[in-house]
Amino acid sequence: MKDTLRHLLSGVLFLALGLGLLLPFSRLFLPKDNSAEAGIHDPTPNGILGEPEDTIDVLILGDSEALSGISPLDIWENSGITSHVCAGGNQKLFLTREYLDRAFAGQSPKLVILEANCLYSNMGRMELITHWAQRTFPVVRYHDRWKSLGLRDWQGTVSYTHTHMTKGYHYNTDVHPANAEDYMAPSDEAAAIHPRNRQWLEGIAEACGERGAQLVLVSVPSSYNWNSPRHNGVEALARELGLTYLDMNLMPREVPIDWDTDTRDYGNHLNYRGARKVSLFLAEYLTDSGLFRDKRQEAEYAAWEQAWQYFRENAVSVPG
Amino acid sequence: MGHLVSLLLRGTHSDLTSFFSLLFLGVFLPAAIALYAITPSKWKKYALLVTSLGFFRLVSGELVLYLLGSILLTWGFGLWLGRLHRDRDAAVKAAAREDRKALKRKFLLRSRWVLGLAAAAHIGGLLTVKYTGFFLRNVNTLLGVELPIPGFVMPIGVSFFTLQAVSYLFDVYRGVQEADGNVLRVGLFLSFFPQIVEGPICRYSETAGQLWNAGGITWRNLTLGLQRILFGLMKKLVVADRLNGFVDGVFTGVDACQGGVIALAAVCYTVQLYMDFSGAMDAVAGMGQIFGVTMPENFRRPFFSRTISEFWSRWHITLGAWFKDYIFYPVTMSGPSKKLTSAARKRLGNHYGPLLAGGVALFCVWLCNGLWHGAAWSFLFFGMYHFVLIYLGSLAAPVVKRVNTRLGVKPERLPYRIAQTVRTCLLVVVGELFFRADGLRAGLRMFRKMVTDFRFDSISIPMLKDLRIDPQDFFIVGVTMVIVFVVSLLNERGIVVRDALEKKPTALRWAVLYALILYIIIFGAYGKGYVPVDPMYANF
Amino acid sequence: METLYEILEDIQPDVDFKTERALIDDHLLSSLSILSLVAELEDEFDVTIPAVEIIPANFNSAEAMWKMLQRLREEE
Repeated sequence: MKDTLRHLLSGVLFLALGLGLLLPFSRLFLPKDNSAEAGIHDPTPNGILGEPEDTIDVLILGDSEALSGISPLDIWENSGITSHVCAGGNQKLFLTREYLDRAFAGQSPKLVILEANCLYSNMGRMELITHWAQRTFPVVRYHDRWKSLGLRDWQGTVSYTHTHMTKGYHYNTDVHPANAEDYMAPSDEAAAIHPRNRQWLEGIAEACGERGAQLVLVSVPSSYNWNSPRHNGVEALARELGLTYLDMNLMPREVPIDWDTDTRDYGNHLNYRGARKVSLFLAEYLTDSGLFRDKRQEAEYAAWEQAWQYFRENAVSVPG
Repeated sequence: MGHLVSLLLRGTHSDLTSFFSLLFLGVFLPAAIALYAITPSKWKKYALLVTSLGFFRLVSGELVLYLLGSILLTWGFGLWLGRLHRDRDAAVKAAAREDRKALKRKFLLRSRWVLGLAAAAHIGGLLTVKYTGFFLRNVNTLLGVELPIPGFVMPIGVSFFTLQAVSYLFDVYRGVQEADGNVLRVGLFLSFFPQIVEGPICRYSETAGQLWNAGGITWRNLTLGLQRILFGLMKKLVVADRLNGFVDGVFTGVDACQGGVIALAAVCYTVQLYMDFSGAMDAVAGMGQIFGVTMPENFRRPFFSRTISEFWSRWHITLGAWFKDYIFYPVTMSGPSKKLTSAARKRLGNHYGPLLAGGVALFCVWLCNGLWHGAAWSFLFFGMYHFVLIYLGSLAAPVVKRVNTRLGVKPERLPYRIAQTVRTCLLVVVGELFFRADGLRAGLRMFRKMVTDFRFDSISIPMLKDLRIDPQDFFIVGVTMVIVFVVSLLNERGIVVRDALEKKPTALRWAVLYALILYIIIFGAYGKGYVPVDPMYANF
Repeated sequence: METLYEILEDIQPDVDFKTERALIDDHLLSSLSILSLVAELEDEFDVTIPAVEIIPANFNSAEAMWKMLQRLREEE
């Protein structure tokens, strides 16, 4: 018995010491800047780290629907409200939560938009454990940087300098029409949302509440991903949690998506034409909320005006 | 509880086949150890059996029925053979002295029939699930017909546990193993979860008793076992998986590659296969140790071999031993072969005499070895390649000896031994090239390119970058190979590092372990930019 | 026993059979040379060596072979 106790103790001590040992290595391996050259994964959504403190009004989270359907620069041009998309392809809620926390560290957005498609990507237990390890011990996520460790990594000073040109938006002008005949046909069914996803959404809502940010669920039009049962599922959950839900799939007048011209991949994602329509609507919605002031004339926000100008000059086309 | 049951019934958790997956190492194994630890001593064997069958169910779904059928057949045929032996002994005892020989003969024939039937059932099952596709495809091409090819799904580990079953029955037939009346013990012997995916192929006398009588988990076994798993994890994650992208790129894009690159890829593949397979075997041995069971070793420093025949007694040892005991000796020791050997010895002398019958048997062994690895012409070629090398080696031995004596070369000198070892490794690499190539034709094309178009300067850094590998990768692979080499060298001299470490102060031991763990975390090929690689022998 | 040593010397001249204890485990006797050894032993000692007996334990040393031969002769 005494032996068992001793063994148990040394086992626990070994583990604790080992985990403690991971901390200095995590500091070493964490990228010291948020640029691709500095080795950060996903520099696009992480561009928000390089934005000056407390300059982002609206944080936009979600998966590829969000990053290809919402263009912060178009929102800026039409409302003078700043926003940033922090989303990746097939991004699940645990990563969404990480981006939320990371954004809150340097920004105080008054409104957080969550694109609802990710509520239907389920998370496996193993994924969750892996992500927890990666988040807690960055050496697990960034271990491959052993190939490029430099002096700065040993000094350990972190400073984020990179900002993303289109503020997390993925610019694309391909056109591959969708067949959207039966799209959003009415239904009484409600697609179930996995309890684990619900739990994570509640966590996100709580975190937003603590920081005084309003959480809004939106659905960017997608004839491929969205349908009435999913709409009903999200709407019921939003009502239960007291959240606003805007489904742009059901707003043909406000967001007049033409499925022949506005999608880049047969109704899965919007192209820039579609994203522009969504963003114009959101600009109006955000202005009407009365939460934000128009900063287009303010000197501190000149960089935003420049970013918009650069985007307009270099984008192939900015329709209507 | 309902959730647990549904999880168990869902099947096909292919993640579990890799002992180094998070699901296995982080969830399944700890759960299995915990279940085993809290089960009272008397019931531990059943806990092990339930865990093993559950594991098979999780990986292969309903195909667990195939395993259960296999267990029942093995048990039943074993009892039948045992019964025949008992009847024989009783009859022989009762019979008059002069009738005994005839009686023995009668029973021998009968048990031979039973063994044949049992082997046919097992091997037949294996042939059906493994080779039907290959056979029908060739029939279709040769005859120009279009027979439908059934998509049999292979139960996990079928190639391994079938051989275990046959070896048990063979041993009972030979009378070196008592038939076991306990179907659960036979079941545990065949299904023990660490060994079922990639072997080693165990003998009944080696593991059945140990498993059945496995006692409590001791702290020493637990820690030493985990350390061995950790070492295997290093081999797999740092070396094998790091080389995977490059090897895969060259072998699937042969046309774009120069001979020098192909040669490099062939060497890398050999290293990858060794690290992957022997790493998994380290994990199996480690898990065995945790449950207090000594598993047979499958590798003994194969790249220290001086001849191809020695290589095969150090690489995938349990497979080679199986072929030797159940094919090679039975064929060479059969009546006709012995007569052939005796007659040939009188004419050809002691060395060349046995090579006739021996050659036939060796041919059978390597035909089976090639086919065992898979139903494809490239595997057959692989088998024949090694057959020819080993046979030529035997034929040439006296000549080499004479030449050496004439030239005054001393085979025991180090330079000669090193030359032999290097030659053997090169021959092995060529064999593995064919083994990995996408079909025999691709293998031949690669070999031709490698021989006729070999240039060192074709290996450049930009070219390697295209193939998803850089000099730093090779550096870390090299460092790890040196670590493995040093440990092997110590093993070869009878020093087991884990045991030596056990006697050192705790601080030093922990420092070494932490260093190893950090080494794996930092230099392992996992996460963004890497694809997890399935265990390479799980599909054979 | 002397006859046994002679046979062994004849098959594999460069091994010291009097001291070697791991002929099989150390790869001093290959599977093919065992074939000629078995044939020779069967002729010389007038026994039949069945395949079952060909295990490392019986062939690792001259002494082990001698014991096996004695046993087989008694069983005949």
